[in-house]
Amino acid sequence: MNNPEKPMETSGQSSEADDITAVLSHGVGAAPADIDAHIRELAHQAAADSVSSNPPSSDETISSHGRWAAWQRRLPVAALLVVSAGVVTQLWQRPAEHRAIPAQDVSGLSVNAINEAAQGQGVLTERVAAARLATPAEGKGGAASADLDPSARLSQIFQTLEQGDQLDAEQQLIDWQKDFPSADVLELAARMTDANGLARLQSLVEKVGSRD
Amino acid sequence: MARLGSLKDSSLCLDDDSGGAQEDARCMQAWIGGDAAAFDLLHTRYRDRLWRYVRRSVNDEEQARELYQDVWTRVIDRRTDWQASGRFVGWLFAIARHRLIDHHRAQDRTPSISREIDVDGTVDLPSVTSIARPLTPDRCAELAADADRIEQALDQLPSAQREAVLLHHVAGMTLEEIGSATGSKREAIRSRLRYGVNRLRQTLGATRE
Repeated sequence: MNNPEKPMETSGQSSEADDITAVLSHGVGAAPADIDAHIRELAHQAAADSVSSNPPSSDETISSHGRWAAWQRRLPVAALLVVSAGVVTQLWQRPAEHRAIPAQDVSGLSVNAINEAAQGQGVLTERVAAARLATPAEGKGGAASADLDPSARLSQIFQTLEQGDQLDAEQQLIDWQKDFPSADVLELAARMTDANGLARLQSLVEKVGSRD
Repeated sequence: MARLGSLKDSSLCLDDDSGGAQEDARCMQAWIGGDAAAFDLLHTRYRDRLWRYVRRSVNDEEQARELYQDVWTRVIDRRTDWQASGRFVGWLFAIARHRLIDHHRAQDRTPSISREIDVDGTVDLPSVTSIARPLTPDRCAELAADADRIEQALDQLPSAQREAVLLHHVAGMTLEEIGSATGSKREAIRSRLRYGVNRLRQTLGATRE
């Protein structure tokens, strides 16, 4: 294994998980040299084209250009524009977790298509990730899933816990987990609550898990 | 624009990871500004990591080769979209990740919802709450000659766990780098890795029937 950054801090069971790294990396081999040579040719040509046709005038030109950076500068703070395939959707004053969902509803774009539109730019990454988590999982549509509100669900679980009804809270969590993996439930919760709240939910997840 | 063409010694970009992100950024800026050698430094640093990630993400080598080339081609085509404020490695693997998602969708291999749910132990798979022991060296050696079994074990993972495991244990990315590529929180990534590694150990540690 020749990873520049050695896998670490992963399993919680073993500090390294070197066994998994070794097994998964075996037999994959090095990158295909013929393709790499072709890629370098293309990259070198691109560099030459940059010099001849569009020389950047300053570092600022590079760091700030890109259509998403331009869009960001034009937008009001509370607005989000999702642009893809000629579709423009404006979202106003919505909770961060939900901003990308109406982008789907209105534009008909999939989360991945929206993500693709913002690919690599960091503009929508968090919002799209949140939407992915807040959107009922694929294939689980229907009334029960369609009206899920993660924030409300989380509040309800905490409220139930505060009322001392542990079993009811666990059942609410189990219902939630029917739509999302545990890891995603925790990730979603991390966006909506503080460390104490997250720790309480984590504890509940572990209790539910221990009964499986 | 600073040019890195004279930096034939790749140590500037290939040294340890401290400052690696900054050096990557300098290489990207130099390449976009017309320095071809700067791309070579980036390419040398990441080609094997990217290849391992793509190769382990698809079961067919020819498809992996095609996808690998396509990712780098997209990097070239979209180089001016890259922002210096972000990690290059995150940007690169975000492109790879999205390309693989498109590929799996086209192949109709998107993991089923049952796989997404089975992390909760609701399907007939070993419960994630039982902690699996690390694989023994002998078992690792056996598995090295059984690529199909490794692929099957990976296919049984929920997509988020599979992605985290591949990015960390195959592509060698740190949790922060995975976060920049996927938009996920560090703790969520850690959780996915914990579940994913445990599940793999359970699956791969079991003797073949």
